[in-house]
Amino acid sequence: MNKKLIRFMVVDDSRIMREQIENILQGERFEFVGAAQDGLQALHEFKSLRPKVVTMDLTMPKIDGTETIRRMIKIDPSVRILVISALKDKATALKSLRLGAYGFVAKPFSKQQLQSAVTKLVENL
Amino acid sequence: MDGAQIQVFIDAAAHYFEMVSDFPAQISSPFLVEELHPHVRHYSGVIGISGAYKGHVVFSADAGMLGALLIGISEFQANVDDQAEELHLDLVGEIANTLAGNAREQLGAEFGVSPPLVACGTLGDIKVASGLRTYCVPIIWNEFRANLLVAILD
Repeated sequence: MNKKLIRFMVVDDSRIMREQIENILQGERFEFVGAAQDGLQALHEFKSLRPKVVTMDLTMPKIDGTETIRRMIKIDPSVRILVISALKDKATALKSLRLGAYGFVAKPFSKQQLQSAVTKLVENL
Repeated sequence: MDGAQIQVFIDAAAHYFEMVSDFPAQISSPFLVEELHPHVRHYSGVIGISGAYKGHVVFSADAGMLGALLIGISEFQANVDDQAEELHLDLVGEIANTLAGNAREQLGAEFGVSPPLVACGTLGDIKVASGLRTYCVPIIWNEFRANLLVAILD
């Protein structure tokens, strides 16, 4: 029986990061549905693509990741957001979680770190 | 800017190269520079610092280092040769962002980090804070050279 794939979207201002994250996650459980390079584009794409999982950078032009998380959760409270950011301080990680993100991965990350964080993110989906 | 603060950036650079490649970077002792420009290499990523601190963090490298890093980045499969300029600028900005962002682990959330501005050749129109003491941290990785230029006022 075919298991339903989990739709995911990648938000990061670096094309290299977007493609790296897409390639690491794309596979048996996940289906890549789209990407965005800033918060404004992310919100636009999110409304039409309705992914179940979003990976979110924080330092981005136009609308930063923190505000994008806040607005995405208003649109769909069930979305599971994994923050992937170089901002490594505890206060930023805790703020993201308080806003409703499910997890935090610090850049630079290994393939295993990202896969492990995403596995936890979708444990009970 | 004191020795402990500059060490934060040295540690961030060492950690970056350990995580993204199989080769550790050799990082030399930082030294004060009068001007930024003689130490700028072909591609530069510039991060403006705000909040409780003022200044800039610049990561500057040549195509050789950036191309070699791109080949090694896990799961990145684009044809690097066809889009070298765009990808080198993207990567140099991402490295600058990562090193400045990681510094918040020690310097705290009041160390405000801007999205990267990137430049090829000189820094062009990118404005950096003037009148600050800038430290140059020389980095050698896989026989390629880069400079991390840090000027912070707290």
